[in-house]
Amino acid sequence: MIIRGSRLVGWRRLLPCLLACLSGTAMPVLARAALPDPVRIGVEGAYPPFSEVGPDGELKGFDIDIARALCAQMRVRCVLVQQNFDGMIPALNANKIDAVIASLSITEERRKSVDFTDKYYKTPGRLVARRDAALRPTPDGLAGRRIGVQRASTYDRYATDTFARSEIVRYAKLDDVFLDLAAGRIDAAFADSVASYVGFLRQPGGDAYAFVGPDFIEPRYFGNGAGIAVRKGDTALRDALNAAIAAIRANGTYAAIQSRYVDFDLYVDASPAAAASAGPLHGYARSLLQGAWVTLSLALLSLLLALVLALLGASAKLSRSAWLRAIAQAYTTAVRSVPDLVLMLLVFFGGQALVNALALRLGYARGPDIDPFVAGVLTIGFIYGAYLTETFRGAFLSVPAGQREAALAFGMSPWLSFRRIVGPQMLRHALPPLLNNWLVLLKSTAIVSVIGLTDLMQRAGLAAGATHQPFLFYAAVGGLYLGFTACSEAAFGWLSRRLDVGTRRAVYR
Amino acid sequence: MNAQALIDSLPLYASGLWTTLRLLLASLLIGGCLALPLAVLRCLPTPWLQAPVRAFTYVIRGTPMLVQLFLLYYGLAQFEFVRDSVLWPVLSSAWFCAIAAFAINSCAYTTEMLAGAIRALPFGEIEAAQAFGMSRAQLMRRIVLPAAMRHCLPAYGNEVVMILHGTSLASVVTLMDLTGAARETNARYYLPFEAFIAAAAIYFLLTFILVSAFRAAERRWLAPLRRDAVNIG
Repeated sequence: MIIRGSRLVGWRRLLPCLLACLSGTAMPVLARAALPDPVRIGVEGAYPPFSEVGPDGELKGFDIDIARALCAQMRVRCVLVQQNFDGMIPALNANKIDAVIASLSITEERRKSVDFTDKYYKTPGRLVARRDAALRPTPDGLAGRRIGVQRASTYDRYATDTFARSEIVRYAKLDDVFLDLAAGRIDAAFADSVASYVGFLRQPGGDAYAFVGPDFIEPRYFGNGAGIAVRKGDTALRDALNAAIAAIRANGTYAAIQSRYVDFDLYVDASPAAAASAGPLHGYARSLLQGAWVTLSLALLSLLLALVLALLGASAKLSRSAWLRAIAQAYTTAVRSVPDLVLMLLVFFGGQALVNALALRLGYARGPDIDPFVAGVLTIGFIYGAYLTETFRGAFLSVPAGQREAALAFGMSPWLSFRRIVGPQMLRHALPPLLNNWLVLLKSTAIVSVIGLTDLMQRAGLAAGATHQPFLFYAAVGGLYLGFTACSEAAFGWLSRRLDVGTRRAVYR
Repeated sequence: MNAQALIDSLPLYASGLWTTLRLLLASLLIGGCLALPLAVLRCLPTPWLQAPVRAFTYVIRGTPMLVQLFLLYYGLAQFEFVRDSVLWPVLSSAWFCAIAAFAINSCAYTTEMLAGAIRALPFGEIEAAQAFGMSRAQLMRRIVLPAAMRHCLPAYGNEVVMILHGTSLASVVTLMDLTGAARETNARYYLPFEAFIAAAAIYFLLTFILVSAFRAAERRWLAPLRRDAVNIG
């Protein structure tokens, strides 16, 4: 992290100076030249009305509109990168995105890791609870109560310090905080007032809840409003964004967006009726199918990688070379010892830091980006390569030794004896565990949603948050996965019937 | 500063480890106890006993554990009658949802594993037992189950490790397990390498202990059955 934290920053500070020395051009041009192309902006997509994902899969909301207006003002190409809130600053520092426009409050603590622009809006934080809960909004009154917050948000920090005797429950998404408040798992939610108002209180079922207590505005925690985060030392982008914020405030664009946001607010009220008419999945069916396609291609590519690794691994494990056996053993032991989720988080966040450090050493400003899909394929392929190695090894061992010895005695080469004699028999033994491995692999793709891949799971989560019908959407995801399973089993069944020809089985009477 | 961040997070990791272990043990115990009878039912020739078990394992094995967990955790709360029921305080706890999801999952896999081993037993052993005049119950108790459980050992070792790794999903539903501790540390200090490698190392150690235990068990109970196979080289 020292490498990422200081060296990269040093290089980024150095770059404009270097360019200035080389070209001798004027500073304003330089500032433009130092802007990335395209500028990758991290946005959240689960924090209405500031950012959310509509039924058509389009990002919308105040943050999104502001981001687009700023890009237009700066005359740069931008791509919006959707990202979980708690992964936002790690992704920024891992160089996966260049700026964060996600209602990020400007605080001293965050200033240690990132640089901020001027604020682009400011609203107070408030507690939300059931109307009949009779909560006293003081640290004493809230003692022993469960308060839901978004993890790593300023509200998390404030609640942890101030409501020390309450139980703070942390969630990845604000939508989830409100789902649990409605479910009665938490006594109160602590969040931005506008986000709570539009995202929950004005939603169906929200009228049983209300704001309790005062506005929370302590600058020490809530800073001076929400700003745009950029990497430390990325002054070119920060200055360009500051100029753009000032410009859209002066030329009326900001006011227009703000009024659109009020319109949007009214539109949210009208949407449940409109959505109910859009089929059983509230118009999200198409979005789910697109997610299913992403999931399926991810699974198949991972399987391909895993099969290659497994054949290599199994032959290494069964070889005479002690070195090869040791390497294969280290691979299967290490990889099978760490949860998919942990490896994936490590590859996605840590891997990027590594790639960047490596690129720096080779003389490039930054390494190629690891996107969630690639990180997913590499991680899952690598993990299941290890599991399949064991499967293949076991299958090889269950072929009677005499078969191979006979083949060798006939003068077949080791490869020929594998291809003609051992391989086909081994496949029959490998098939049932292989099916298991494949099904586990297929299903582990669901966790790639945690690092921000817009797969089936992620799309269902967004739809559940927007419609407040989590059971419906997660059941739909379950149904789709079950469909994949059924197809896989049919294919394996056909294969296994072909391979079992001539095998005698006991009949239970 | 890096080391300091990890030292500061040490209590977090320690309580995370304890949470992970409790989740694992509870899920395995419940899952295993349910799997044994289900596996026997699954192999009986009676269709109306076999079919429900088959449907259960089919649905559970066919859907991701994350989906099952979300269905229990977020999905149940969608229904008013569930929220109003007397069981809601239990049903709504993250602990219940996580253990239920993991146990159901483990049960389905273990059932299929045992059933597969039962079906794959050499026909000679069963025919011999039948020729001795054993009843179906005797056959199961004396011949089939002991042999099937031995043959299951390597696969069950995998399954236990899978569930250990599956417990990392608990961090997604607010439980502060080992992975939750790592994510919290990463979010707090922005140190992906340190945070996740620390968690990975602890999982590695746990897995190493489990795998060693299963290897010892294989040597004890399975090696005699595989005397021929070991020499293949």
